[in-house]
Amino acid sequence: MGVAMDRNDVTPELRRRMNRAGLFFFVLALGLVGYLTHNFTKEYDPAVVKEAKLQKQRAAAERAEKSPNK
Amino acid sequence: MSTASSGFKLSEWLFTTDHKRIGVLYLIGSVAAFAVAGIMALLIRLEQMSPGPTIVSDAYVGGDQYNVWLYFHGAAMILGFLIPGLTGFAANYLLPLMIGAKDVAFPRINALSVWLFWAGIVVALLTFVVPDKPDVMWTGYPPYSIKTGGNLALYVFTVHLIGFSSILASVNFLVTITYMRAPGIGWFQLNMFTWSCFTAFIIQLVFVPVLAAAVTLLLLDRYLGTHFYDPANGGDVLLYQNLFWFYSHPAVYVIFLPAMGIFYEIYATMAKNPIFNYKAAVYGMCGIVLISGEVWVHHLYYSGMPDWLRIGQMVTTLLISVPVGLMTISLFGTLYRGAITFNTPMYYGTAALYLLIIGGLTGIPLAITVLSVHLGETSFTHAHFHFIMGIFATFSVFAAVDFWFPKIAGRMLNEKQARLGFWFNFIGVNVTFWPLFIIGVQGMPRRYWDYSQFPPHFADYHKVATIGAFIVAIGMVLTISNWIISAIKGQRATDNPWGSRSLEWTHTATPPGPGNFPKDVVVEAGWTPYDYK
Repeated sequence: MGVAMDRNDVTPELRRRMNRAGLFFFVLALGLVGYLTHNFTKEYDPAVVKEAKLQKQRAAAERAEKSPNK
Repeated sequence: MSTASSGFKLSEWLFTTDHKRIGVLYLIGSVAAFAVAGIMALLIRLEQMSPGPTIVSDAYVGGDQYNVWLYFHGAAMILGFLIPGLTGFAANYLLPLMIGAKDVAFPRINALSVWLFWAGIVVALLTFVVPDKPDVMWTGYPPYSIKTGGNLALYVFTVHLIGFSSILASVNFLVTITYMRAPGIGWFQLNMFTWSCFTAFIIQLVFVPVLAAAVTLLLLDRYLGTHFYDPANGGDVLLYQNLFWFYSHPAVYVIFLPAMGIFYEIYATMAKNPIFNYKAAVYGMCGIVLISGEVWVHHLYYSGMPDWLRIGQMVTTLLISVPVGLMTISLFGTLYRGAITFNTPMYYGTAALYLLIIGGLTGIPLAITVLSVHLGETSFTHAHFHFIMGIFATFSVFAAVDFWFPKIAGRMLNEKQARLGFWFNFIGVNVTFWPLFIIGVQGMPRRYWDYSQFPPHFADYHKVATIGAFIVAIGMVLTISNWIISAIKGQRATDNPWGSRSLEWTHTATPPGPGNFPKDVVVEAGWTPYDYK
């Protein structure tokens, strides 16, 4: 991996503190993605999804009905 | 001081965890993206030489081809060149050196960041291989992006890969700057470039996740049949625009802040002056962080929204010029009564002030709602953001490479060629974008490949702009070829050719060896990196 990993400048205590801070920032970022995605999912009305799917199925069935290859 | 050098081994570079090599890998990747984005820009300009089809195949597919060029130019310049060039290359190479650290806090995560960035570049380049090329600009606005036959997945995955790389880099450098400063270096003894990156990484950490969420929902809409952005099925098409700009306007500051940081370093060193009003400039950067999340609406003034929001964001957009003004005054002031050395980095630095003023002043009418309605979708805006963001930031990357080249390569650049490259670049960008300001005010819309329905004299201005683009292309070739040739056979550099007081020049070999510093760095009380008096 190269010499950069052989370090004597990072004490175990500093490593612990840096790991904690790094994890905090990372979780903050991931938390934001999760929160936003979840939030928008909540706002989305499942009844409308169901209706949209039904519409698509009906349209497909109609097309199949009218198809000359039938 | 001598340098440990043991020949070139590809595997040592690919699997390195050394921040300096990772910085150089970022530079190579970002310059590659820049080169392809530049070719796209030339194609765009060639097409606009005349109304109607110029180089596109025919009128029927012309718009599609043109959209692909626009997509790649925008996405590669912002996601592939400017952000990684500044927060990837410059931050990686310089920050640990400037704070007296041997490396970053998490070297393996740093390596992962650069791999993700390279993966993002590869995915973006697949654009030229797949038959259904992405054609969604760098914005990816629905409903077009959901309904187009272009490949949206490549766009989304590029954003995911480079975005995740940015988040990891932000985590890494925020921790590094907080915990790994050499003994004696307090917060107000940091280099301006360090401060600028610290504030840019805060913005990046908070806002990149918003873009990641936005494009993920876009992907689901396109390929899995959800309807987050589809109004016909209970979604909201404006939701995407709000989310996109909630990230993408702050992203302007992720680019602007480190670019300013670079110019501060060059100004102080070349003028042999301390930073004028150091603390005010630092507070200015912090002010930008605070306000940057409250200005996104000026990108969508024309969309449906309550007036109080539109007016409020007009005020905050104008308000952000206060911290930017503090920084600009501080930058100007640093030159005051300085013994200025004019070399290529300083040429770029001087040009930056001009770009900052023209780009800043042309931004004011765009911030004001009533004027923005007229100018917002014209080539006036196109020229404005190229001045303040595209060229200003590109010049900052060029200035950074030219300024720190002796430290990075251990050799001096060919100064004559560097200056020649600068003049081609500087004259070229002015010849390109001033005509676009003029016809923008007269009503030339942005993003149109065919403008045959507009006044015929627009074509003359477009021709001049195209000539300008080719002048810039010559400048870019001169500049980048100079880096490559000088890195191989340039004159050997001394440890501190500019006489800087900053740690990366005073305490390291040229180029710095593994571990950066021959012995642990401890600075004396009252030390600053700008101690020229």
